[in-house]
Amino acid sequence: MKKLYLASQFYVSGKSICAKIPDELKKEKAVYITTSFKYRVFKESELDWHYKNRAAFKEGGFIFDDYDITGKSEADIKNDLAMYQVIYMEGGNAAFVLQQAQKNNFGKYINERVNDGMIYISESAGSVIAGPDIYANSRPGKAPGDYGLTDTKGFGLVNFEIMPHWGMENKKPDYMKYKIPQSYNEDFPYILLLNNQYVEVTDDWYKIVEVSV
Amino acid sequence: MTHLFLTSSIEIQGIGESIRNRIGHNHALKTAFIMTPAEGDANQDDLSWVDGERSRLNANNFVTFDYTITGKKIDQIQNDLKDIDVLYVTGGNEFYFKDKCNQSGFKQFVQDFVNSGKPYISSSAGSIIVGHDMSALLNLSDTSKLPQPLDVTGLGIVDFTILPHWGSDNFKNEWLSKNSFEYMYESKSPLIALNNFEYIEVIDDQYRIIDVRNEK
Repeated sequence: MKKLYLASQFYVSGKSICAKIPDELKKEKAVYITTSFKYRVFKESELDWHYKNRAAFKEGGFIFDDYDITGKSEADIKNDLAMYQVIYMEGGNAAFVLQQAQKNNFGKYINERVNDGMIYISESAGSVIAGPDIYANSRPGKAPGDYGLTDTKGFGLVNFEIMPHWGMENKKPDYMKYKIPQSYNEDFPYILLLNNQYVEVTDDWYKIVEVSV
Repeated sequence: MTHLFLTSSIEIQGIGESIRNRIGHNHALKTAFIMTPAEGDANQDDLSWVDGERSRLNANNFVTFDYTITGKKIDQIQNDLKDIDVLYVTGGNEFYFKDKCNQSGFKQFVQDFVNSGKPYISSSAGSIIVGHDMSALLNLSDTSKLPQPLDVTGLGIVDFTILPHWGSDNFKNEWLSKNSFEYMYESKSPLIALNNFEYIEVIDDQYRIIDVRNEK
């Protein structure tokens, strides 16, 4: 059974998501993919959101290892991730993750694993890249061209694209100028997701869950 | 079990056929064709798309009869529609339709019908209105002649709001206008931008989006 939890902001909805994961899976280690925010060097103060996500994952009962796919070979990926039954894809920069994933076939690997039952949890860029194509979510500085991408296909784990952080004041200019016009195509469904909402996917069925804040 | 099929436009080739396949009926289904939303459409000079919706249903063994809730009360509606197999609601003006629902008590009929497990099928306004909140659509329909304060709540059957006809040339100026964006960005309901080739199948609290171009 395919199972995904695609969040907009994990530290807001993570408690609800983690409560749905069986304890026996939490006792085994999960893998926390950190690549999405490794596209540049951040000051510690800029990573507040990431530390909150880590805390929410930990408080949700998970024991986990960090993993960065950058510089790994296809064989490394298969070998290093074989033991994990739960993967968490951090937010950050979908174009950068896709650039790295195209070098080692990470997307194909994840697709196979998720179809075999590995649980995929994500936020923001990690939710964007789970869909069919990341292009609509790009903006200057996080655009496919900035990373030399000519193919913007995502991992294709779901048949819709999530537009995360919908309604947030600090994201509004990018949505108005870039993301909504870029999404205005007859290609896929787009789900505009507030920070307190996530999509729970079971095989090809899903529901949008709203968390009280 | 509730079962809904929410389309942008059932006129599009393949949508009606796909829904028919999922219901799996091989006999005629008596279908109430609720055309009330079309009565509120801003362009009353060209309602050829209503004929298109009806034709696609009929072509797929949904045998329709036209019906409006305007001017009716709930007792009459319940009596008139007591033996239907399918409830279909057209496109048009979702706010006008909600006003007519309020006047007639039609919301209760829809809720009871959907809870009975019989299929609810809709296009555009008929798909928007099953959500909780229609405020994201305020720039797309003419509300100037409707009672104020305007009722922007939907029927509350599903927990998302559909933005229909996404990506189509016909609605591009409306959807990409600053006013539309502002209404959409203020919405607290999850919004699903749905193009003309897709529809949402809802079973109870779960749903999936089907693109009929992938079914050929």
